[in-house]
Amino acid sequence: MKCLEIKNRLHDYIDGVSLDEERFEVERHLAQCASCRKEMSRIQALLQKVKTLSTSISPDRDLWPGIETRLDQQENQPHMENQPHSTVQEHARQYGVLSEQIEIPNRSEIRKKSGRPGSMPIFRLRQSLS
Amino acid sequence: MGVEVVAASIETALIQRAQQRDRSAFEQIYREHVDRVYALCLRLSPDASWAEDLTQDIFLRVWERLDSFREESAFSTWLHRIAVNVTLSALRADKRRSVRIFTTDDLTVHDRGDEGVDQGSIMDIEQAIKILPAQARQGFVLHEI
Repeated sequence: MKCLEIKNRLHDYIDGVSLDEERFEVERHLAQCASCRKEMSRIQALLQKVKTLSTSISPDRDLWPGIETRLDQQENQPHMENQPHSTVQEHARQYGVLSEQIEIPNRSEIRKKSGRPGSMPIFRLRQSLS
Repeated sequence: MGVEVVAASIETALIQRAQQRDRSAFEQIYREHVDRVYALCLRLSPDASWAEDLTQDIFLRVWERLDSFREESAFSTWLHRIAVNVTLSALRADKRRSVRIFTTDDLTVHDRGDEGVDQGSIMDIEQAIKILPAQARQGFVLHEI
């Protein structure tokens, strides 16, 4: 196997998700290729450093007052049960469309029609009602 | 009783009070977890202002959903799941803004305070994460950090 192919498989190898056959191929290649061993060490060192990144960062300002204000606003709205619960429903309300007119394609339909999810709108108007 | 056990029982009591709509208990929960939520949002968002808005949205969602928390998982795990879902939904809803805009303000180093960690390389990694394409950044942050 060539170095480029091995380098493309190193991340899976390091993550321990390679198939057995691929793992043997990578190990066989690493045993005889200093360049790929160096590349693997480099990736491992980088991932070690990534693990030292902070998982806690304080915001520059206290966000609680903003949250509390919005909680107050929500509690002061008299008829919450009539409010839209999702962004789609909110858009429907803004554009004067009944939420029953909105049809959300399911995943298999999206795949069948387009091959990839991002190429279809996330919702559309039902043809029978629009 | 160990420190961790005491901390867990205090958190359980806080959650139960918050589930009864006790705002002061919810504020304590917020203060305990906000830094972790904000760190996630900041790394996935186009800028700090977006991350602040998202953090607020996440805690509002947590407040709305508190009743559904059943202690089947750790509270922090449940919260993290909500944080990821809210963040990814927001980014999907506004793809244009999810393309990160580089500014000099982004050069802040988020110092964990660890001795012996090369802060220069930490900053390089933070910068490298910021310029990844949106989907690659999401995968990297959610998988590796």
